[in-house]
Amino acid sequence: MGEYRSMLERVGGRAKPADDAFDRLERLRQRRQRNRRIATAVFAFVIAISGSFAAFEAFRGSNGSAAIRGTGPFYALWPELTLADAQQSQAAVDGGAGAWRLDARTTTGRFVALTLGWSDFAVTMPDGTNLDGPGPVTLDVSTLAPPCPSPLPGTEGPMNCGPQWETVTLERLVRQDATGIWSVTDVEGAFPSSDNVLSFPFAPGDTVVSGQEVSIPFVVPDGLTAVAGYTYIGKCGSSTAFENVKQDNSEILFRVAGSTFKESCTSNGSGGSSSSGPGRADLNVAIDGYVFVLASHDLDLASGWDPFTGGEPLPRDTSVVALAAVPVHFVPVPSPTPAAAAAPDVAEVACDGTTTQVLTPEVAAQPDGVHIRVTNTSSQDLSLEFRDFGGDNAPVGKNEVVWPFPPGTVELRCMDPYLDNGTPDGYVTLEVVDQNGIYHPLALECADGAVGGSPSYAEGARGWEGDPVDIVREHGIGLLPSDDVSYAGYPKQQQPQVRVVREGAVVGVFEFFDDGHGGWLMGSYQACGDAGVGLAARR
Amino acid sequence: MDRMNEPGSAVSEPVTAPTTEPAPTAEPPVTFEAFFQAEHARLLRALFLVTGNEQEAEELMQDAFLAVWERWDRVREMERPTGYLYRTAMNAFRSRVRRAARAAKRLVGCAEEDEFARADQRDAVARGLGTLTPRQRAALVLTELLGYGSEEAGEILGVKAVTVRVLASQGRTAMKEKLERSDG
Repeated sequence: MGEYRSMLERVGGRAKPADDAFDRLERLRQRRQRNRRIATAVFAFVIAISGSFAAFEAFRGSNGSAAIRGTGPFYALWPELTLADAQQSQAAVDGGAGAWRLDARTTTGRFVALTLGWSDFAVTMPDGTNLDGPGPVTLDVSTLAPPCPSPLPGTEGPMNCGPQWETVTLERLVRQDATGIWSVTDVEGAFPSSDNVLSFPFAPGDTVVSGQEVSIPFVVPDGLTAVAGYTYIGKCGSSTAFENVKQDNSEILFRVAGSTFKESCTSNGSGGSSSSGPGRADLNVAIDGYVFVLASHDLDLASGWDPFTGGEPLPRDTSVVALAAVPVHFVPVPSPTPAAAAAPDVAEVACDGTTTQVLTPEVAAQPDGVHIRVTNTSSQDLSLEFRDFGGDNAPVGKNEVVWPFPPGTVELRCMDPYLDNGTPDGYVTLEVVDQNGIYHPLALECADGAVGGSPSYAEGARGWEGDPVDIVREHGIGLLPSDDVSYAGYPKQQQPQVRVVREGAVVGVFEFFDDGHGGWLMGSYQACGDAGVGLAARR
Repeated sequence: MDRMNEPGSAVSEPVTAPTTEPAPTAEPPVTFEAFFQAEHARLLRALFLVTGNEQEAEELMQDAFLAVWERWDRVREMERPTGYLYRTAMNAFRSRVRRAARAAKRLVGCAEEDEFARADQRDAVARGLGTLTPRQRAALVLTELLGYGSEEAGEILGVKAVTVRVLASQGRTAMKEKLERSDG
């Protein structure tokens, strides 16, 4: 630890704080407050809701909710949710209708007027925004007069009605030049000021596993109600489920995609879709959709209204104070492989500060690796050391860790990291059994030497999309038709690995890591020198 | 696999860096200015290590402190105001990365200047940092420099603890390789 810390301290020390840092902060604070007032006063423009509804109806289904047709990897929120619908709208615009779709600013204005119910607001965009390209472009919207109604019956005191901000991201998804229509692909809200941001930790198109708990550092202001939900978009309709939002100190928490999806299409392609109610089983199929969370003064609205596919339009005299939404790809929880009969799924280890005890001599390998639950009964946090593998935390109480150990013997011990005298004492053994053959060995079996490497990537680099095994099959170099390409290690381990087996011997192993956007970048590779196996560079 | 040499103690405040940094006090700071004076240098260094850009680090630091300032009455009562500060800063950083990534989708090759990536050949540590992703750097800075446990670092970064461990491990491995290569 000390080695890395001193290195980081040395490099970090190059950043010298200014002597007048606090004065600068104070001036910045004053400047921002002044800019907000100026921006609101100068750039405000009012959307006449009645006028915009007529144009907007041309792009919506007859029932008032967004029409839903078609499928495909198309990640947008508004006005269309599917590629087929967006293509129809593009054709309509090409024919001379709805020219406002070509203007990012007007599209944003209509979005906040119709979806959030705002009436007086300003739309601004950063200097240098390129409106002739495909985007994405990000526009800020701020209210002039906050949509704060009279106090609700039975409530006292002023409600928090400061100016609201919404950040809207748009992209040209059908055609990427100046003739392409803009679609809203991401929305973030800010209330009461721009630093209390309601924003999902996902980017458009990110994969979200069923049942995932979302944490957003956001404090719901007094007088508001927050509601969260998610919507599955099927071929014949959509289904929305709402989730309870829990405020936990400085963050809100809720679960997404925690329901199954059922679709019933009729022969003409219409029909409906539904999701089961709260407390239901996890999602059963992979499907596109979106997640959203909104804050509102209107309790009726906040208790069951989907901003994008709700059957009801936004009620009159109703407004959304802050909205965050992002289109994503929902996937079911990977189905677990039945565990070995003789061994538990989770190993139990007890540490008392001086000794380490393995309470379950064997543990069954799981699809994501080997699970070990450590009970630390001492009065201080300890570290957990796996000989020849690495280490982990063992805080006071119970803590479960998962590691990709191969089947066989693992040596481990708990220790006080600050009293480590460097002696290899106190190790105990745990036997990892893999009766179902989940683990695929990844040690190279080379007749001659091996080669390997670890490529560097620029910040923000995007990886290949899809399953890592398919990535190697598709982009591998030097593969023979008879080569067997499959996962290595555990199929669901945190950092997936893929191996190439030639004539029964492992001749190449590729390790991938998540690029943060649903893609996979190769972190490292090893291959037998005479195999000539590699992976094409990501372009 | 290298040993993940992670601090075993789950600390609630960043471990105080030796010599120059003020020690965390048991009593919460009385004024925002006192809190700022106690924390801003360390936060700036951490953000510099994460972003690789001094100007960006200063902007993020200012944004984070402004956010804390606006709700100082609430933050000062928190058990861990410093943790809240770092969380706010990392959230702002994450938001920037997210937007930059979106822009990079169509503007390949126009990444922001990273001082570490163009560091002098002799400065192996800085060049090592330049090979890490922003998330790897953040995990490394939080766990190694600031002494957060992976659970708390995960809360600050908005990811699971295991993700922090993996990111930090990747960071250490890459740094080690870079250093070994430069030694060799």
